[in-house]
Amino acid sequence: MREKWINLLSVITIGFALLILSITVFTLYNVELIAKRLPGKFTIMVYLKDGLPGNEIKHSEALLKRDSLVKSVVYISKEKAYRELRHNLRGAEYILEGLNENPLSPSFEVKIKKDRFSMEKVEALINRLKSKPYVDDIDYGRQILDFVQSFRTAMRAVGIFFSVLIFFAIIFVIYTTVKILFYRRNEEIETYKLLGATAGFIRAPFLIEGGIIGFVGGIFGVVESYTFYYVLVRLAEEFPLLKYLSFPVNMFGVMPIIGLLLGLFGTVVALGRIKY
Amino acid sequence: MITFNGVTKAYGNYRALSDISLNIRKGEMAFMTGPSGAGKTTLLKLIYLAERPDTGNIIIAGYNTATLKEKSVPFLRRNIGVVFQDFRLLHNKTVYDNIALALRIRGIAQGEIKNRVDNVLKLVGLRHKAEGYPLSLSGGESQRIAIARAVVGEPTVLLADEPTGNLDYDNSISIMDIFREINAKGTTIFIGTHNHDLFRNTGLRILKLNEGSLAGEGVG
Repeated sequence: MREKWINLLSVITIGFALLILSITVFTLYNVELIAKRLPGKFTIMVYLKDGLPGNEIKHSEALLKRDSLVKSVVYISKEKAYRELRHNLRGAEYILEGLNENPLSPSFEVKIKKDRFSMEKVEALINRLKSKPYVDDIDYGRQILDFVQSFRTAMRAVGIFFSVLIFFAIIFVIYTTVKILFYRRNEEIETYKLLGATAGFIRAPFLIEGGIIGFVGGIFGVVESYTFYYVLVRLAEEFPLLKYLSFPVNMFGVMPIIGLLLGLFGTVVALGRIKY
Repeated sequence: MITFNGVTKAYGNYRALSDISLNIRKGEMAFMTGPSGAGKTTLLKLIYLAERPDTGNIIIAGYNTATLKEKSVPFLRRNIGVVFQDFRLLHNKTVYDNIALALRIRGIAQGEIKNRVDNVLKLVGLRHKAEGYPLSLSGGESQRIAIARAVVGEPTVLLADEPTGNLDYDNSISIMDIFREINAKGTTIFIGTHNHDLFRNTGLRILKLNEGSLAGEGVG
């Protein structure tokens, strides 16, 4: 009877550990999604020197379009830039009053191919552009990109650390449970040995038990994670920002398998070598 | 079938057995006697490999235990049926399951297990106790079940450690009758006991142990 309580406690502990794991994966998954969506929004503004002849602008634009990293190049003339500024300053156009001439530079709005995006490649392109004689200045969201990249790396590290920690915690729970069960049945096991039982015969029921504890713990983890997911979906009705978050529901199918494998591994470690 | 050559066993400074050499022939039924602490249980433990000798070697059913690999120990034990002094019955299993365990360990099929368990329960006269639990049995009944479990695997050697230690005269006689019946089928039996009534007038060989040494040999 007491063994049932020990097993139940282990199942609940594993379930909660897997819930923490699923929240970790959920967080990582969303950080990755945000990081992947970002290149689609990423724009490099290449400001050109004033007074460039039209054919040189066209030639530079064509060269830039040929770059394997570049998705599109849009030329924004001085006049268009001024119009856009005026449009953006609607209601506050007086700011521009007193300017005798258009102070804005013509520019290229360069978008990067999503599938080829990497910070290193973008920086290499920017360095290439800086060396061009027609380029006056370059502006891109470096700080935001750097922040997202650093956040992504840090989250990955934290995620891996948590995952490893949870895996070890589950193995430890199974290890302790099986050790307790093994010591409680010590007399019985000694009798088995004296009757000629092989190590495999002695291990088998413990492996089955450890595997079942891990598997049921995994199912419990799925139930808890689904509850978390359900709460998130309900909250999204109140807080629209949450709608942008995705839950990796495929993970639900894997959790009992993870529980089973960790259960078997923890049992093998706990039983060690059966001595005669 | 059982051969000891210069076997010594000590526990710390205490010498349980000193320079024991003996031979039990195939199909023989022999006794080992001596006062408490003479080393009877230790000697039997050396045969079923619950203990290993410090010096000397032991050959059982053709296996030299000194060179036997650990993973082969279970297979040797299947050749040896042991009736333990404290029975070693599992209280959470029925009488039937206690006996069947020895066959399940050997990987014997379910149908065969049923037949063999039925047969040994008939041999020890306790078929009606098959569904009972060990705690509901008397001392004599527990001893018979322990014997049934020891012989159900048809071992070549049967060892018994004080098999009538806690039994009255009638039960002791009945246990001895069972041993004789098993021995008649060709099983080698080696019994450790301090009960002289058990082997008196049997005409069987008796080895005398005293303070861990063989002190002589006789016939009951």
